[in-house]
Amino acid sequence: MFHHIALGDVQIIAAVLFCLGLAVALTRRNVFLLLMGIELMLNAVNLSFVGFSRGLDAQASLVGQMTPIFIIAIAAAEACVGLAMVICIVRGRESLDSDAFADMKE
Amino acid sequence: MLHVLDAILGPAYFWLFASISMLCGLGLLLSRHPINGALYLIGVMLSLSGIYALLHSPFLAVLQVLVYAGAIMMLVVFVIMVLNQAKEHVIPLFDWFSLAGLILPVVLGGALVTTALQVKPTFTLNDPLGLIEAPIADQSALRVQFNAINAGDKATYQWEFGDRTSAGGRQNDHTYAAAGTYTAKLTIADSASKNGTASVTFQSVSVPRGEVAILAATMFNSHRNGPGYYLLFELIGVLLLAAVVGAVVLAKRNLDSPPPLKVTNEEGHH
Repeated sequence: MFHHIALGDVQIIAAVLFCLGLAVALTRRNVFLLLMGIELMLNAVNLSFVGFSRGLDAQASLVGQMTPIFIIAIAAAEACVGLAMVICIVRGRESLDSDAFADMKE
Repeated sequence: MLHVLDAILGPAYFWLFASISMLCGLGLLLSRHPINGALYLIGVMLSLSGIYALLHSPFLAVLQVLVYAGAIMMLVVFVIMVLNQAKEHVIPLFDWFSLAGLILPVVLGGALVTTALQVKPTFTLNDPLGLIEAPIADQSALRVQFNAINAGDKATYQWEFGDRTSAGGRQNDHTYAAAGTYTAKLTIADSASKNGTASVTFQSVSVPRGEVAILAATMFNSHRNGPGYYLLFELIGVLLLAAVVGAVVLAKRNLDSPPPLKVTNEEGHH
């Protein structure tokens, strides 16, 4: 069929986006890029949920679309708390490099 | 005419959004400044919203634009600018230690993609009487070809495919509507009143290999496949993006701020 796409392709895109987000979170030192990499990973998981839910029947599909709403809400809370922490720490450290925050463990 | 347009535009929109999202994700990884990364991430979120709309999840598409692209990313951009990171200086991209951190995502991504490409539906043949020949499956379309043995001229064959459909005949070509686990059952009655049943379980694996209809009508048309206002929300998102870019340009041009914060890898905070 011409106007169809395979549902596995959605999962491949979600996997690529997740790995890009993981790469950002692991390799970049800037705290903003770190937070944005985590957001990208959460988005990829949402896409995976929606892609899987499309293959189910209507009632089960709603459950698959509901889970990303919870993830979005948690991501919003995480962004608020994370950015507030970043502002508080940066006020004292004068740096946005995540290595500068390493002495929190001491 | 409209159907032909739908057939061409639907997958085109899907692959357009998919490529935009992956390119913007790559841009986030390689961005030299947090504000560039934030703009790339907004691009990812808007294109994901378009994919949700094409996958018949309209509420989630709207919520994605409103909450993610609207609220969360606006907060991130706002905090970046409050912390005076909108000035003209770049942050270090990679060093050798952080390049080692790329190994895990590359390995994980390769494993995930090859797994998604290689999955096949599996069959369990529970057939003690030997009535069913091995089914042939078309992986991409959930289509299975069932064959029964030849039980003589006067035998009748009755198939139940496990999704509340049934058919007669010795050979049957059945397409399942959705991925899942089905138990197909065959009953053969021949002239000597010998009845036999056999079942075959068609089990789709974790990644659904079915296909979904992606019609461009879901994005524009208001009466065939649901409300057609997704494109309006995408436009609002683009306007938001333009507002953010404008704010950054204005801030860079007009603000006369103190020198930016240090972002180098200097030691000495212990």
